[in-house]
Amino acid sequence: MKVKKIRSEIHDLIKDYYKLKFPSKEFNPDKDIINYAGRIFNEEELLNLVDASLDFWLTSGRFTEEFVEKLEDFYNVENVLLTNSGSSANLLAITALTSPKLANKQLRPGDEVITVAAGFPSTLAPIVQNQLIPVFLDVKIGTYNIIPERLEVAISPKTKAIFLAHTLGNPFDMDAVKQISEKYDLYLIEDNCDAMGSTYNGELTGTFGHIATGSFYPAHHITTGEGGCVIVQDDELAKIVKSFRDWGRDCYCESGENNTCGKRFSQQFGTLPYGYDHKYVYSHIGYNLKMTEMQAAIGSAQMDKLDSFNEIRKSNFKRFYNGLSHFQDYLILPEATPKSDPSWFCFIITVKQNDKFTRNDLVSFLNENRIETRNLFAGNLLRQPAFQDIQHKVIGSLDNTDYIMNNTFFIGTYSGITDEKIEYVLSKFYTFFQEL
Amino acid sequence: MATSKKIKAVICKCKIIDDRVLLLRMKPQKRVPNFNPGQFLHLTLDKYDPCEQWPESRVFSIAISPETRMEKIEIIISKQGKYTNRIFEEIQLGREIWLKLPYGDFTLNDRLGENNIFIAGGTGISPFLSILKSNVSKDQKIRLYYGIKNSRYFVDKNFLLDKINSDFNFKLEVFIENSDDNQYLDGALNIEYIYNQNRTPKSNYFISGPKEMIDTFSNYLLHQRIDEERIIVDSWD
Repeated sequence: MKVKKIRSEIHDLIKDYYKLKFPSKEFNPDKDIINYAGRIFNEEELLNLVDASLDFWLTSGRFTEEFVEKLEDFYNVENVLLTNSGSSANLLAITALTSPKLANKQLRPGDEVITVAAGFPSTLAPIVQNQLIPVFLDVKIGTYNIIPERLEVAISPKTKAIFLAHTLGNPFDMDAVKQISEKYDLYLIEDNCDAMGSTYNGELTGTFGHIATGSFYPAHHITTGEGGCVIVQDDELAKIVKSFRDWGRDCYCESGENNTCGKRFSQQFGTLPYGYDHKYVYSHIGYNLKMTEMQAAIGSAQMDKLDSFNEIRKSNFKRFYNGLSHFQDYLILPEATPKSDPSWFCFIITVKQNDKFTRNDLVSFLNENRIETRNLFAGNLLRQPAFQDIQHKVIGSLDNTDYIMNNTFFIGTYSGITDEKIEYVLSKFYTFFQEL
Repeated sequence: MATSKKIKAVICKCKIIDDRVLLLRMKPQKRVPNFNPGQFLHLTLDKYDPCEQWPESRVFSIAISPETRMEKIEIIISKQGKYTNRIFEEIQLGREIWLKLPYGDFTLNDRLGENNIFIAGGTGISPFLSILKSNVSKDQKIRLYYGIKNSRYFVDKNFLLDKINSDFNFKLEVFIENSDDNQYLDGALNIEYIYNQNRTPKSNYFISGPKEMIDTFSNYLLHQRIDEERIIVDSWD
C-alpha cells in the first residue's frame, strides 16, 4: 500500500512538473524557430515513462503489450512487432524474406527488388545489405511516388519483391502496385514510416502489403524517441520476423519467461544434442532490434493522441495549400494520389524552372527567417557516396528523381505548427515573391 | 501465430468428468487474439500483475474454434501433477484467471493431405476438437481415432456424433479400454490397426496424446516408411 501511495504522489508531482517545465508558449515571430517536426506530448507521456522506470522492468513488459495492442487495434491486424527504429523495421522486413523457412519464396542473393531512388536510405540499405539487386523506377513530381505505368517494364525473372515508401505521407498507387505484385507473385513491402494514418480507398496504408513498417522517430506522426514497428499479415511470416529481431532464435518466449512452447528440453535442432535448451537454439542469423519498455510507455500514450495529430496535419496541409496556391507559377504544390487521403508528413514544394530564383535561394531565405526546411531526404540515392557503387538496375531514366534532388524541399505540417506559425510562414513566402 | 496476449478470463463452466479430467469454459474479459486451430494457451492460477513477471503456468490445447473465441475459451484438463492438482482444488465458477495465448505449431495450415488421420489419446482430443469445429477442416477427408480409458471420458460426444452424420468426409472410431458397449472398439488405441486401415500413400498422421503414445506411434509409422513430414505430433515436455 505504501508503494502505491508513493507512486500516486510521484504522479501528482509529475503533473505539477509538467506544467512548470513545459508551459505552452506564445509564438514569438521575431525569435522562435518553426521546426518542420517535433515531439508533441503532455503529462501522459511523462507519467507512463516514469511508471515504466518505477516498474524497472526495462525490456518488454506491460507497456510494450499495451502499445502493441493499440497498434494492432489501429491497423486492425494480428501481428505488430516493435523495434528500436523504423530503419531496423525496414531491415527486418527485407531480411525476414531471406529466411530458408520460406522455401522457394525465399529471397536469395541476386534477386531483384523494385524500389525508387527518391527517398530515405533505410528503404534501400536493407536491399543492398542482403545482396539483393535494387531496380529503380522514377517517380512523379507532385505525388513523389513511383510511376506505376512503368512497373511492369521493371519485371524480370529475378524480380521477387516491391519495396516502396508512401512518400512523405502520400500513398503510392496501391491498385497498380498490388495488381503487379499479385500478377507476378511478388512480396509487397510498404515503408509506412512517414504515413501513419494515411488511407488509400478508405483503408490504412500499412495494411495492404505482406509486411509494412513504421517509425516513431520524433519527426514522425507519433514518437517514442527512437522506435519503430513491423506489421505482418501472415502468422508464419510474423514468427520469422520476430526470430530475426530476437537474435535469430527459435524460441518465442517473451522477456523473463521460460518454456512458453512447453517443450523446452525435448526437441532436437541442427546437430545439437537432443533436448538442448530451446532458449538457445538459433534458426536464423539475426539481430537484437527490440524496443525497450520505456519507449513503449511513451508510444502507448502517444497512440491516444494519434487521431488528433493526424487531423491537425491534414488541416495544416490545407492551409498551406490554400496560402501557397497563389504561387503556382513558380511552385509545384503536392498532390494526393487519387483515391487517397494522406496524413501528410510535411508540405512538399518543388520549384519550377525559372530565371529568378532557385530552390536553394528560397530555402536559404526561409531558413534565415527561422523556418526549418528539409530536402526530400537523399534526393537521388544513387548519387549518394554510400550508394554510388552498388549493383543495381535503372529502368528508363531517373530524370524526375534528379529534378527533385535539385528543386524540391519541404516544410512541416505537424501539430506543433499552430495557426500563428502558419500565418508567419505564409507571410514569408509572400515577402519572398514580392521581392523577386 | 498472432502476437500472443495476456488475457483475464472468468470461469463460467466447469464440467467435472471424473476426479481426473475436467472441462473448463472461460469467458474472456478482453479481445482474444486470433489463433490457429491446434494451438495452445498458458493458464495460471496465480494473480498476475502486469508490472511483474508472469507467474508459473501450464499449457493446455485450446478446444474451441477460433471463430467463437470472443464468447468462450475451452480447455480439457487432466490431473498429471502438482499444478493440475491445484487446478482441480481451486477452480470454481466466477473465479478470475489469467491466460496467455496463442502458441504452438500443431496446426493444419498447409499440412492437410488427401487423407488425414487424427489420432487422439485421452485429452489429446483437444486440438482436434478445435480443428474439427473450425472452417479449416471443411471439405477435408478426416478419420479420427479416439482412445479413452472408459466411456465417461468421451468428451464432446454429441458434437462428434453429429459430425459423423452431417459430414460425409469425417469418420470416427472410438477405442475404449474397458468397454462393454458394442458401438466402440474394445482396447487401447492400436497403431497397427490404424495404419492398416489407411494404407494410402498420401496419408498424413496427426498425433496428440501422452508422450509415450506419441513416441511409440511415430516410431511405428516411420518403421512403415511413412515420410517424417507426414507425421505431425503435438508433444510437450
